[in-house]
Amino acid sequence: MQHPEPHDLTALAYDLVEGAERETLLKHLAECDQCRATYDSFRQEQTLVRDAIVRDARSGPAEARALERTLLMLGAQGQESAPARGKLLSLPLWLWAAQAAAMLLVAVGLFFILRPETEPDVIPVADTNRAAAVESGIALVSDNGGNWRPAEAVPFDAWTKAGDELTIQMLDGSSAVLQADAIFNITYESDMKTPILNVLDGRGFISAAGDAQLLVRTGDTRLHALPGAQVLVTSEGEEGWSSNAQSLRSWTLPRNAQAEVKHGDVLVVPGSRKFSSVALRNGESMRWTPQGMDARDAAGQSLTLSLASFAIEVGTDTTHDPAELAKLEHSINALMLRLDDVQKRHGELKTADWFLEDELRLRTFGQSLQVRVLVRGTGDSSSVALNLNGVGVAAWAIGGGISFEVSRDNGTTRHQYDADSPEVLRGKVPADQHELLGLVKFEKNGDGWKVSEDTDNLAAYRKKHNLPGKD
Amino acid sequence: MAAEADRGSMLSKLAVLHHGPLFGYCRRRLGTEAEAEDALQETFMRAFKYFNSYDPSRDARKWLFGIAHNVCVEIARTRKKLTISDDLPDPADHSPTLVALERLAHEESLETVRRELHNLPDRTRRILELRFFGQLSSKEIADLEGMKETAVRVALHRALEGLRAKLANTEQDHAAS
Repeated sequence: MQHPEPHDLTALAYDLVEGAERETLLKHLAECDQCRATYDSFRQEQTLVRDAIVRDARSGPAEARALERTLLMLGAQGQESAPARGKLLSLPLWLWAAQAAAMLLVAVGLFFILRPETEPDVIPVADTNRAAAVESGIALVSDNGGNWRPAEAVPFDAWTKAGDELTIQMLDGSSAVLQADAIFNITYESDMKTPILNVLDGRGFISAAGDAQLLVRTGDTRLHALPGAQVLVTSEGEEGWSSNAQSLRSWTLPRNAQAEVKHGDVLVVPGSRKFSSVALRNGESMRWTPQGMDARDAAGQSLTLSLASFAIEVGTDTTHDPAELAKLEHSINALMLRLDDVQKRHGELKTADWFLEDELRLRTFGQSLQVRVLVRGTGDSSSVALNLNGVGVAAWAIGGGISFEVSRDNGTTRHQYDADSPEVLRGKVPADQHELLGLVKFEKNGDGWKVSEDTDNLAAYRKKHNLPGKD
Repeated sequence: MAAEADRGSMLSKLAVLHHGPLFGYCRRRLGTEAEAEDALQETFMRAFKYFNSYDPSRDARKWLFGIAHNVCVEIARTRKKLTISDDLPDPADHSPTLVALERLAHEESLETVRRELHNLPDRTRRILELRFFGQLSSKEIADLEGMKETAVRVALHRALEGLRAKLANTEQDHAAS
């Protein structure tokens, strides 16, 4: 195998390579562990170098001043009112004269004519469609023609790009600082109270409000930031996403993602369910790729169950080594302690309880292997998760809302539908997925709903599709 | 005149979209906010003047960075010296959002990188700045710098080798402590 030149790997890591050459290099990386390891280290270094260069040079107030002056100049609001130029440009006389002439040309030629045109063409966002307010910076949204245009607020469920360092505030007081060019969108849970922030590309520092929760999604992993939590999320998308708003769809996933908890508690739930979810706290982090999720404590020790443990967990035909089982039980106990600790501090939060229950429920797969099993109910929430030969079906009820989710291709495509009644939900779910919807039973439970497997329909589905039974 | 109105309107939109990275680049090149403000204004003045040279099929951001690059080079030449941003204020002087981000960064590694960046050849710094602010490729940077594309990559790679060694030491020190 012929390896790329080191300087080409450096150039790739610094995004200096384009087109077919980039594709060729990426293809090589997919096949060569050695070069990929080198590339990964260069890529981490690139993040540091970029931060060192970019952050120090940016300044919100000065940029705003510079923009104002530039717009005034372009709008030519009269030669007299044009802002004075700095001493920097005390250039040779001929050059200054040329520049002054150019200025005059702009001023005279565009006076009156340009003035109505110089206001930035900002996309209005109706109050009812606002998912977050822009505190500072520029939010860009797609104009449906594939172009990014400035918007006066972050609209509900629309891919948004930070045109500059962008600070936003969500309806519940949670906030986020997105670095320039970051792409994200915001929706809300079916209760319309808990914001869901999808980070697709770029970097964001996200803070949950002191009395509310915030769901951050990156990759297929959900980061459930409990009240007061702060998390730094870095997500890397495919080349071309940042310039082509039209190519973005609701199910688009990044290439890889990382999150670092800076303060408070964050429950991490990988959508693929290949690995156990975990509670992270200050200083701990997770890294996601399409192959899976890995969480680490502050000392760098892995917190996620290994792939081997997963095989044990779901009860496959693997021959189980007692030592491996003991190791698994130890890992599970360690995770349990973390969850207990979070529950003590946030126990009154129903959504958090649901995630805890979900986390613990997953362990019931290990029952037949005599791995410690604990199931705790919250009484106010319920869920169903089925894996049907690569097709994932999940449904959950919390508060008065119900949700239904279908995932395919190991979770890389995912569609979620939310409603406040089974009838409305059925109207939202496409007809070709009604058979899957029928595997879930919805029953009234006080003011809300309870979901469970429809055992008859599930048995019929397994028989029809020649799938083995659960047990 | 209508064409000029369209030109001004389009450049106003481009200014709204790209002023941040352009400002950052000029500030790195020139050293102070005031100088960067001037350079940004100058960039758009030239963009207006030479608008006919703009190829709409090209990325406008890259076109603007080409102009900003030339503006900074001319200013530096006029001043007979090129001030690299040694006098950038401490990040703590920045807006609260930057303070929040900065506080959370890997300070130790970041400091190592800052120190090493200072020791890089100016040309390498320009390559990095054109990449990070202007999102230019090695070919586009080579065109601006009058170099061969391979030379851009080799120059960057060699210059970064020193930085990598320092970063590895920092990580080892951190692990040992």
